[in-house]
Amino acid sequence: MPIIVNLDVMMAKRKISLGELAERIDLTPANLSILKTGKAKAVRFSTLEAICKELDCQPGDILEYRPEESTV
Amino acid sequence: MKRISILGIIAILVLVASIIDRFPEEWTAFRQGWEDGSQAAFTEADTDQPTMHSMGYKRIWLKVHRTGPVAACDSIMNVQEHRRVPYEITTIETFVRPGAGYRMAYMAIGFVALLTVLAMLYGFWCLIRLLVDLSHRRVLTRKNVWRMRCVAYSFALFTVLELLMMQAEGLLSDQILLPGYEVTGLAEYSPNYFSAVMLLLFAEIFAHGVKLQEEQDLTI
Repeated sequence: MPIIVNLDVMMAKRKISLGELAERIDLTPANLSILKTGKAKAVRFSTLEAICKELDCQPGDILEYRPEESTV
Repeated sequence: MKRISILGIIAILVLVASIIDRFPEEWTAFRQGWEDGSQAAFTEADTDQPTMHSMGYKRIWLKVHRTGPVAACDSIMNVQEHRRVPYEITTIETFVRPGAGYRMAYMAIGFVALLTVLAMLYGFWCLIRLLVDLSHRRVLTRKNVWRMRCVAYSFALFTVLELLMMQAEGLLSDQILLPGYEVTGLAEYSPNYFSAVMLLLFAEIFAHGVKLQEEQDLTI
């Protein structure tokens, strides 16, 4: 998928665990794990806002666009 | 969700009731077909005359429509009113002799019929599993999409089979001449094209619904 979620990188920088972050932003660890592993289809702005607020970062620090390489 | 669950249970009950209700009629038709086939090589037991089937005739049911005015003979006695009242025949059962073309077409249709029987059996099984899932409030799942599609496509295949049978047997109805009536079609087949298309449409709508549900579930 072209959109890469770098949530684990930011969590490591801020030294916060998945469960702790999930509790702070009122999400289940399962859902946050779906987001972290890149399996999510979409992210709500409210969720993005809550993550950025807790991790003190910008959306661009968490989401990255990497175009897929076409195979010849 | 509760409404779907209740409707799923009702659907199971209605399905079982309709099977029980139609079983005597379908069993009679099955037995008649079985006896017709078994009589193909035999003669009548009491008269020692050859049966229609042994002479190469085939039983056929035709829809007929009266063309002329009701004659005096086309009346029956109404015992309550003590007077004769007109009656009209709408379906007749008779015999026709299939030609070589019909036999060849029937062999080809037989292959489609075999596929249809297998598909219908699997479709019926899928329908039962789908209704059970609905009654347990498991509605929008990938498995149910597959089951809906199996039900829809098996019913569509059955409709196609009925259409083929109508085309093949429609050629035989030209052999029958009933004074005062015209043959309007075959009574045995009534393909429901609209239901088949609607089932296919609803199956695809259901699939789209599951896709939306999955996207919703994976929206964090």
